[in-house]
Amino acid sequence: MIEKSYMMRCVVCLVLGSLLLAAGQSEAQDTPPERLASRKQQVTRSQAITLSALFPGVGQLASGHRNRGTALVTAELACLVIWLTSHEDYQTHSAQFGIESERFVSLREGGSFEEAEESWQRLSAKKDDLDGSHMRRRLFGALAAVVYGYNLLDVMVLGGAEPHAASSVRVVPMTRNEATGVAVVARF
Amino acid sequence: MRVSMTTKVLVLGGILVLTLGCSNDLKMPTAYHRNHLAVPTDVEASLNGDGVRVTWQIESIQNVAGFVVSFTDATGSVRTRSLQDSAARSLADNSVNTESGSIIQIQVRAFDEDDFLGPLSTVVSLSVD
Repeated sequence: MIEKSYMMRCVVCLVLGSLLLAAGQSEAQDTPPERLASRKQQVTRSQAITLSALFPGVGQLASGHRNRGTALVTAELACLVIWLTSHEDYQTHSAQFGIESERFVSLREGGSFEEAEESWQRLSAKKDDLDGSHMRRRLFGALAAVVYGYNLLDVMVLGGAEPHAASSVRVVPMTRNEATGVAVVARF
Repeated sequence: MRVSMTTKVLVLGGILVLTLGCSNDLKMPTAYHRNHLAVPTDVEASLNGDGVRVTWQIESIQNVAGFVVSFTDATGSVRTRSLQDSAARSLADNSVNTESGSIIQIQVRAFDEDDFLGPLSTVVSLSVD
C-alpha cells in the first residue's frame, strides 16, 4: 500500500512538473535574435484560463505573472501532497483500527479483563491517530479546493490572465550582416 | 475587483471551522469490560489442615456466573480452581503446596456465562511456617 501511494505521488509530481515546464517554456527559451524585435504575448486570455483550469497557477505563469503563478502552483502542490499523504495514513490507520476492534470484541468470550483493557488502550491510541489523519485530510483537501477556486477567480476576474507588463532591460547578442555586437533590449 | 484581506481571512477561518467540526465516522466500540464484573474484595486466606481456605466478598453479583481462585507459589507456578456458583464466598483446597517455609499468593476473580474473566482482586500472601 505504501509503494502504491509513493508511485501515485511520483506520477502526480511528474505530471505537474511537465505542465509547469510546458507553461514556462515560452518564457524560458532564449533564441538568439537576428535582429531587434519586440516580444509578443504567446498565450491568449482563454488559453491562460484553460491552463489555470488544468492546474492552479499555470495560466498565471504563462501570462507572465511569475510571483502569483509560482505561489499558486506551490500552494496547490503542497496541499495535494499533504492531502494524499494524510489520505493514505487514514486508510492504513482505519484498517489497523478495524483489526484491533475485532480483536477487542472477540475477547468478550473467553478473554480476560486485563487483555480487554490492553486492547482498549491500543484502540484509543489508534483512534487518536485516525482522528488526526482525518482532520489533516479534510483540512488540506479543503485548502486545495480553496486554492483552486481562488486561482479561477484570479484568472477570470482579478486579471491573472492579462499579460504582465514588467519592464526589464537586458543585453542580448546580435548578429547583423558582417558585424557582431550586443544590443540593449528594454521591455515595456 | 480586489478581494480584501478580511474576506480572505473569513473564508479561511470558515473552512477551518467546518473542517475541524467534521468528525470521524469510525467510533470506538463499547467498553464492555468495564463495570461488567465486580472485583472480589476482603480476600482472606488461612491454613486449613493440610490445605488452604480462601474467603472473599463481592459488591455485586450482576453478570457473575462463578469465581476463579488462583494460587501462585514461590516458583511462579499458577494453579486455578473454578467455582460455578455466583453465591460461593469461600474455597478450601488441599492440593496447594503447604510445605513449611513456602509462600503462596492468592487472587480471586469473577467470570460470566461467556467465560469472560473479570478484574483480579488484590494479592493476598499466605506464609506457611
